[in-house]
Amino acid sequence: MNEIYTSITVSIIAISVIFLVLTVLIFTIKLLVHFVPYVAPPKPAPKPQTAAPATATEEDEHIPAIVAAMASYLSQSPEKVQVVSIQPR
Amino acid sequence: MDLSFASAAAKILETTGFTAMTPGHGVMLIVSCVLLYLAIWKKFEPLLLLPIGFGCLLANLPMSMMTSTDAGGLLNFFYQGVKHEVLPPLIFLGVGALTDFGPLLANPTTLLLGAAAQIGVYTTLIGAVALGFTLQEASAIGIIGGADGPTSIFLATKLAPHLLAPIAVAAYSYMSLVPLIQPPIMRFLTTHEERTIKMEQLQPISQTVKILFPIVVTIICCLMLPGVAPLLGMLMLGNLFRESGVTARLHETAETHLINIVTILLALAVGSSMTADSFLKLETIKIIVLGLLAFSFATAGGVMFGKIMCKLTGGKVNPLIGSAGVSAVPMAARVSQKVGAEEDHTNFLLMHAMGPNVAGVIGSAVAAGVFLSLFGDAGPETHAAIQSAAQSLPLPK
Repeated sequence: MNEIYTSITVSIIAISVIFLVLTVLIFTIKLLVHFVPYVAPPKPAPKPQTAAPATATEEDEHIPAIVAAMASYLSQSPEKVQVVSIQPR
Repeated sequence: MDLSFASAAAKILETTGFTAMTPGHGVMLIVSCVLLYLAIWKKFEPLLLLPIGFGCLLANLPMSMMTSTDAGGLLNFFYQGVKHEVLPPLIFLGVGALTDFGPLLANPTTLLLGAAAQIGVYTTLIGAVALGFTLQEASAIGIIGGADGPTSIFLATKLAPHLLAPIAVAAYSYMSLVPLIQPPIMRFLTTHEERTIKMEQLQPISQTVKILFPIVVTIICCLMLPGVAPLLGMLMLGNLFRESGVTARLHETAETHLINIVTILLALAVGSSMTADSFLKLETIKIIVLGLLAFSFATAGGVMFGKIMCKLTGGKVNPLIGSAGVSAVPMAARVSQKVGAEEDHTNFLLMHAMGPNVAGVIGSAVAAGVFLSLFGDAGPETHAAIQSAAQSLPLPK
């Protein structure tokens, strides 16, 4: 019985220490985040549209990749998915 | 040397393992095959249970010199890494390199969920003492509830080395069963409304904070609980490799090759300690049952504290993320996501659950540190004795 009483005492002390240590960490993190706030990286300047529209060769490579990804996503055979055209924005 | 055919055949027969085979060996070979079956065909934590099972198989082949206690045997050398507490901290180095503390830093109050889940450790401690274990043994058993294999091994080696094998097997087996153990408890303790709570998007964290975090945690935690320094220090060093951005090669090595190599050595060493003498005992069954209780209470503790946080924040915290406080990264977080998505498939809890999940790793390491402070040999007397012994050594000329 004495052993069980000791184990209960140990448990209460230990869980209190864990909460204490982790509470100290919470406040430390809050301080860090307060003093070193997140700064969004500057957006890259928009590049002038110099890329030429996809050539036939590029499109030949893109279509199978898109078909495979769509078929995988829809859990269907690639034969059942047909990409008619790619409209670059 | 004169050998007749009969005497040569008899001599060879005498040196086979069959002559030294005992029923205990037979039972342990069956146990090893069960572990291999669970690892290969049931996919239960295969990266660990497979080498543990094979280590157990090797250790129970008589006269093979492959148990952890066979001086000069191969696995005895591997076991030195466990005995001298080298391998579990190295696993933590890899875990640190793999872990993103971003979700935790974005919502630091989730650290409390990692603390609350340690309730399982202490309820099991009381249960183990009630079943007749000493406080040191009960502490090593209770830490199974931390759902952290390396921490369990680390503490068992320090406080109850004779119970290392059943504790390690129970810890890793239950870790693999997290997707089966946790969901019923989570559903039982929460309402449909609570499970469908959608949490706010996490705020981004500056890279400087991510770099400072492992340094600050190491200083604070290791000053408060020096016994935890090997585990937490390595965890944070691994994370610093990841976040500093200047040690890409070390980061890559720690998160891939190093952790894989150490896992093989650690798991084989643990398997080699699973001999009939150490495993086929009533204590093993008690530890297996207590381990299950530890996991269940840890899950319940996390969820209940999640409910308290839900109430205090006016319904901004989904209590399901509390169950992830049991460590077992990232499986416990995935379970929170899965149970949440069952109620509402548009509810994405994964990143929110990663906060308490990594908090659980820190929490279980801190829990181990508290046990070491109370029952270990890391006190000032031991430190003074080590200093005194070091000073008495002759200095190299």
